[in-house]
Amino acid sequence: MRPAACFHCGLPVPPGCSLQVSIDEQLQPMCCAGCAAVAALIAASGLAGYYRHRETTATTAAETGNGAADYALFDLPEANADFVAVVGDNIRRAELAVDGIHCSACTWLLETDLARLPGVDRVDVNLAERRASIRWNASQLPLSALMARIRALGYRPRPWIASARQAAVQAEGRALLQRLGVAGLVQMQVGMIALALYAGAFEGMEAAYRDYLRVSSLILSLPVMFYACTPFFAGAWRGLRHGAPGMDLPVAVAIVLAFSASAWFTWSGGGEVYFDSISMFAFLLLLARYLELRARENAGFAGGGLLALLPTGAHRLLPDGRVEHVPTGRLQPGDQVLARGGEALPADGRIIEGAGSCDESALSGESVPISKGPGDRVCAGSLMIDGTLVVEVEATGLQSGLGAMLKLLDRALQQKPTIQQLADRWAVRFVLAVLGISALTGIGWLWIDAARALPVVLSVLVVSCPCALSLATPAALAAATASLRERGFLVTRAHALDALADATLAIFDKTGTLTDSLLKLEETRVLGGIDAARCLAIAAALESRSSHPVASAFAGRGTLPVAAFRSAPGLGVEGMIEGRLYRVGVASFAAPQAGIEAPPGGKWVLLGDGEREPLAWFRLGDRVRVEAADALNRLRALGLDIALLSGDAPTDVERVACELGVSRWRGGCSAADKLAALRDSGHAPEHTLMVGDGLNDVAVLAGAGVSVAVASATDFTRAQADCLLLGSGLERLPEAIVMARQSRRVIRQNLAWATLYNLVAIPLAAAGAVPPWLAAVGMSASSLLVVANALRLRKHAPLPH
Amino acid sequence: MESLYVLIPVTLVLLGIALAAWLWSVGSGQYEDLDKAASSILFDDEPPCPPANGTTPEREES
Repeated sequence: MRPAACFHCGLPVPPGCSLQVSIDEQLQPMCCAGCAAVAALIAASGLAGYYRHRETTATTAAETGNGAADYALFDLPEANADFVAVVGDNIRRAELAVDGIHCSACTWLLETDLARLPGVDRVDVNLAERRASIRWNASQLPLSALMARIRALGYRPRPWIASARQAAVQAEGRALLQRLGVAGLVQMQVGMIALALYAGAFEGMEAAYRDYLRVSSLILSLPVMFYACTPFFAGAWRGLRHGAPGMDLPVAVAIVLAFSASAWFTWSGGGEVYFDSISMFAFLLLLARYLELRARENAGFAGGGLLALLPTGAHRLLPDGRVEHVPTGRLQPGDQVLARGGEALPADGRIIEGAGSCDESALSGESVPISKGPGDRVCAGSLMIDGTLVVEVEATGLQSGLGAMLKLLDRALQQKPTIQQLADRWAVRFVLAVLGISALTGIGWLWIDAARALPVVLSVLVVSCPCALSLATPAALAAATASLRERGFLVTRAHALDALADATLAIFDKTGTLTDSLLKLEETRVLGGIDAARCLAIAAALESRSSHPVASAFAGRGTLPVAAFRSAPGLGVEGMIEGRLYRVGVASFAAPQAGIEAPPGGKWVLLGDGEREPLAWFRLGDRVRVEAADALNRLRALGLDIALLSGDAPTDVERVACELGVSRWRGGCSAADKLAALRDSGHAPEHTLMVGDGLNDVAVLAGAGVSVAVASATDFTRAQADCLLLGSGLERLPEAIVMARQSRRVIRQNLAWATLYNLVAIPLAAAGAVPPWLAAVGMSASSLLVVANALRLRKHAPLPH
Repeated sequence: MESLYVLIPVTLVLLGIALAAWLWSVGSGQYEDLDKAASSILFDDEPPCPPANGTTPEREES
């Protein structure tokens, strides 16, 4: 029988768990006390509407158990200065990054619930950035109470420390949207007046009315000219100063020339005016920029670097035996800290006292939690699963192993292969050619008919308009990005689609990427007089009571009744079955007097009687994701080589590689080894695709041409990756590659069309055969065609079969 | 046609108001998160019962 899914977080309910919470007058199953407490709180607050409208299940609340006391630290002004602003007397505004926000139901839940706390004035939760901005009266409510309430609702708040880059991107986006709107509104008005002017040009119009309409257009165009178009002027100037003219230069030249000439003709009363072309031009170009910005601004993960990976506070043991709660940053080598189950370790150190198991999978790629005792080393950022340790701090912050990984990341980023976008290379050449042709046309017409030189040069510039060219790439990228996003594949960097289309080698991490977090039983080796089935039943019965990750390997096999169950942190579990004591765990715990060692290769746990008789060894391995084999086959069908790089033991890596048919694999890699292996892969680094999840993958993700983080990756890894898998599995990868190749094709088509159009239109314009209204029509038509072609990417179902 | 002398200045004024409204609304961050506003209509404005504190999950034997 399949276990029921937790109503709150969707994880399977462990056997023997009978927690239920009444929601909307129906009892719903819960997987753990954490989820049950959260669900009960939500239901009791009358906010069960959250469950009706949410789009995905919540993050499990199992690990949010303790740590609420940590928040008391943030009530100190020196600890919260970075993210709490003083608004007025006792009024404060806090910016919090909130992990676990998935959909708009989450934002509603947080906003509604927090706004009801006394003293809270205003709550704004931003879904895209997973950020909460709270204004409240600090004399009525401490910040720690707000944070504890967020925690009680099943989310994890931490300080929002925006990087300078994030703030800049946000400001840029706002300014661009304002300019786009101004250009759009003005363009409609000027277009209306231009229609009257065109009609007048055909049907005849009194000069007084014509001049009046021209003056009106001139006034309307002023905000476009002096506000909306300023980025082009700034860009052109920057390009000129650095000796590398880009797309902005011809755009700025065309706008300035067209505006000056139109203003002159408005004043003198002759010639033609181009105010409508200028504002439409500006609108389309700003639209292209905005699309491009939207396609890459999805990052939305709070920075904070090292801070985000370490717990905010640590329990320091004082010489007199008292425990003091201090911010992690104040720890010094030589301090003794207390680490408890469920907490992340604040620093590298050596265990002095106690035992427990540590999950180091994010740091080293180890698939099974490691049992640790006195004398063993622990590293900052690893998660304690159970037990209590006293640790002597050896290295903190950037000196820790975690800090070394971040330094490696910086180095990899500096050497990141640069991928120049196809369209940029074309566009610069194209605009230089247009500028040359315009100059030649102007000189030519000065000889033939000096009075017509300016109008003809203008029509060349307007008709050639790099609009279609500059829209070609952003429109295709925006359409492909949106389409992929709907399928659960989020592109966060502009170059990612280009690089995906070029990828020839896909490198995967093992633990957490190709495998999921659950373990499976690989092998049973009987040692004593009890047969394998019986040994398995006993072990499964004991493990069914445990919440340790090892228990997942035995899930669903144990139904024997267990009495006197006890779990020994870092060692194993024990209990009485049919009157006899049994233990499962490390050898020194399960059968301490037998003096046996685990067989070589793989991760083993022993079943014993707790004294001298060992009964059976069980070998545990991690479980390959169900969709992994299929996804890899499809990638191969698309012509990609597959490689596997893991920090886990070579025997485990080999087993997974064999199961998936991967011939290129390496085990036991450190973060630096992975980066070196990527460079020596025989493929150009810019043609590599790296898929990973852990902190030990961060450097190699940065070093690859394009990187993908899986849904379960740590926040820090997700912030570094170029693309993210959202909740969905690996099968999105081949789809993304197909989509990237399609968008590459659409970009090529668009560029080809823009070139063809210009080859016809420019000579005609240079010959003086294109009146201004036709130039404007031609420009808009070619731009629309390019956008329409790009929109095909949204409809296409890119499923490779 | 003389009406143009009135209508176009009126247009300019209206456009000025529209532009000011646009600049203000973007500047105040209303366009930062378009997903949230779209689905906010689905939720009840006021929850049917007042908040209760100190609740414990119900435990049922099965």
